[in-house]
Amino acid sequence: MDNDSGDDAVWQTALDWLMREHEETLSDVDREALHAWLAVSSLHRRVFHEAEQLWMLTGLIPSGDERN
Amino acid sequence: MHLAYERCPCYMSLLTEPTKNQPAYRYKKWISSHRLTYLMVTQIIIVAIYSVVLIKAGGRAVDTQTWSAELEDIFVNQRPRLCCVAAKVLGNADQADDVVQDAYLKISEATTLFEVKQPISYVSRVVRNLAIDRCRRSAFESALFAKAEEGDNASCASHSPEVIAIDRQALAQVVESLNELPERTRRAFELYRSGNHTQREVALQLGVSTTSVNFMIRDALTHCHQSLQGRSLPDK
Repeated sequence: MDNDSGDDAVWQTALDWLMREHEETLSDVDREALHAWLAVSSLHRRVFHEAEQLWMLTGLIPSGDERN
Repeated sequence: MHLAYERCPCYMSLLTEPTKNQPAYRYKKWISSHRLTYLMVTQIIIVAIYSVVLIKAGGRAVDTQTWSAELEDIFVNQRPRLCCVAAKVLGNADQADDVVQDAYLKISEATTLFEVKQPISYVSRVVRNLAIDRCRRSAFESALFAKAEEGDNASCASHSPEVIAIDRQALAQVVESLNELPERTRRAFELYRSGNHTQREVALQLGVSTTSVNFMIRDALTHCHQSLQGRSLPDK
């Protein structure tokens, strides 16, 4: 559990971005919004970096179809 | 008498040699005959364990070798097609080769943990994923560069090299964390991430609302994140 609700909000926003990007191609406006969000604080950048590292790792796990 | 022989064959020799029936002799005799049995049994056990280990290691070595060859074969023969997959996401061919190389390295590491029966679809999907990651990162880094030039003290957390091996221990932990999830959550996440479905598609497949799917995906990622944060990180 995240004991800091602020951290959790940042984490959830990072997930929002990754999930959006997974489902659609982000427009230039979207990318600018993401960069603006990242530029706000080093916390945003750190948490986003953790989220995308985890996202990358989960992408390496074969799906059920690929395993059988 | 007959029963006694059957139950304790070693006792038989003691009965046939009544002159040597002193307690010390009996003890010695008992020890020596049992030691032989004991030695034989241990020898057999050791040989059996050793053979099992050897057979397993041998089998594994052959499997790993076959898989490495198969993987190399895909990356050599399908390279143009894989570069195409990457280039399509990246919008140009410049970095496509690099992404494919990165995929090769990461897959070689990751597949020491999994068995993949449909390597071509798996490899193509990973290449596509990594191209998306690359796309995001390069846009992200150029934005940070722009910020730095403006005099902002925005240092990027890590200037990771473009081609980087994965943290295999972290990957193993992620797999373990996903397995701890309720079955439906795990399934929703797998369909979304590895199955490349949208939340709406996952919702339709599982017969739940899109909102539930959204929560399940968040739960899955948050659970993995917390488990990774809880592990003892190696000192850097």
